[in-house]
Amino acid sequence: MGNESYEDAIEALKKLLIEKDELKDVAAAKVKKITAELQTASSSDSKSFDPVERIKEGFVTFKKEKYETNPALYGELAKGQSPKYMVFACSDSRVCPSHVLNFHPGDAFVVRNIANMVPPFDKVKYAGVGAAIEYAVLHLKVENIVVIGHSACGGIKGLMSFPLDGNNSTDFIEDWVKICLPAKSKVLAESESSAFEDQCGRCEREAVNVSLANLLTYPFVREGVVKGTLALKGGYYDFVNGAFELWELQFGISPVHSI
Amino acid sequence: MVQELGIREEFMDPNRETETSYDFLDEMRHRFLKFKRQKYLPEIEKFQALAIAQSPKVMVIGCADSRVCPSYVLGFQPGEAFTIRNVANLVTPVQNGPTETNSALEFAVTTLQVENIIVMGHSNCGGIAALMSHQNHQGQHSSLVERWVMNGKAAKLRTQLASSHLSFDEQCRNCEKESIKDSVMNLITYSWIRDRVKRGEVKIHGCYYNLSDCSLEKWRLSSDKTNYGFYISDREIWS
Repeated sequence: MGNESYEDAIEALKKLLIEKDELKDVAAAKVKKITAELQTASSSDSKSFDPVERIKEGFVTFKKEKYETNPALYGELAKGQSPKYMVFACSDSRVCPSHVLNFHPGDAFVVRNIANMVPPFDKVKYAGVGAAIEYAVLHLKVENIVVIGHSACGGIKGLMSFPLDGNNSTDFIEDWVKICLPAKSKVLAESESSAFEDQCGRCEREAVNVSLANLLTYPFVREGVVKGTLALKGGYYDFVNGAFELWELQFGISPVHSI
Repeated sequence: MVQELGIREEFMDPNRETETSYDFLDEMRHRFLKFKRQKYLPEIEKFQALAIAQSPKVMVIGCADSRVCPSYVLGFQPGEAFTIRNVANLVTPVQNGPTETNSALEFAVTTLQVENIIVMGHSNCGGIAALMSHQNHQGQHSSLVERWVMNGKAAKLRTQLASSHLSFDEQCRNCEKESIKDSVMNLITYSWIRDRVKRGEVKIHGCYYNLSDCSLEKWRLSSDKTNYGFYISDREIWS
């Protein structure tokens, strides 16, 4: 309804904050969120956003600037792929590994799902993940599996917020995020009194460790790690601060001691 | 003895680490800093806004194949496309139970409220090749890959019926395209997708990237209001 309701709304907010000073922080956070949403939405105005035009423009640019300028690479890729890396990344629109880690075609076999989770080995449940790992390790013979978590992850926020007591409010989401329930338990045990956002930040990193441990339940992964042909790495992309953390899961047999 | 480190890279003892670990660190550092320099810092305001909230208008289901990243091939920038990638870009129907794909579908459609869903398949797909070459011998244990790609068996059957006279490679090309159609139709089995498509709130698109000749074939799934059915429309090829 235009400027009138906007001014009224702002006046009402100001009046409320004069009366209830303690609400200022909450109000500031909410206004910040609204501003951000409007900013990202306005850059692709829904009235003029045509997905077909968007992908046509994207594809034509890709073909002109990448494909046609590197015929040797794309010629080889047409024959087959031999990526060194398998990457688990979140489906979040902000964390595509091609952007964040500058992967080019052929570099990385990439699985993307909610909160970049790896469930434990199961022939039936979530078999798609097992299929991807099997293909990467046994067929493509990747040398590294990298699981990359990230800041402000909606999936981890869900894990931390849902009660996960069996009364599901979603069809599939709760069932999926509870894969990393051990991460939630650990974070709650270690930092019960921390702010929710801090707990989510810790859980985002711990969930990567749960996934790394779950990777070892796949027999072909364990074999590769033992033989030293496969390494498992964890990563964390913090887009709030523009930073990246990296670590690894180490497997070793200690020296033998005669006792 | 398994040791879980979970130690940040700046604390790693350089004398302990193998040469390959350090190469990996160096490579990732180089890659990330390139992104930071070329994309993140030049557009810092956009990234700061995105850090608070994402509102992608598109969800893409693509293959995990290293050559076909949807962001790379279709030019999506950070914040534009919620992306699911699995072997052979398969969407299974709701009656098959939970998969990592349908949990992500649910999140994108009901929480993020994406307006467009694109299923992107591609040529030379290893998953589809495994599907086409898999012989269903009784008593033999299928590999995990074979079990998963058998979700595309309807597409395989149609392909074999229609094109058994063609070479194996040509049949694979056909199956890749048939499988996209099946995945698109499987999207409709989810009520929260079907209802939104019927109301015009969500549009579904299929596309096929041929990486041998760098062409993209795309089409739309349209809703037939007279008989509540669906049909393919707006087919185009860009090359």
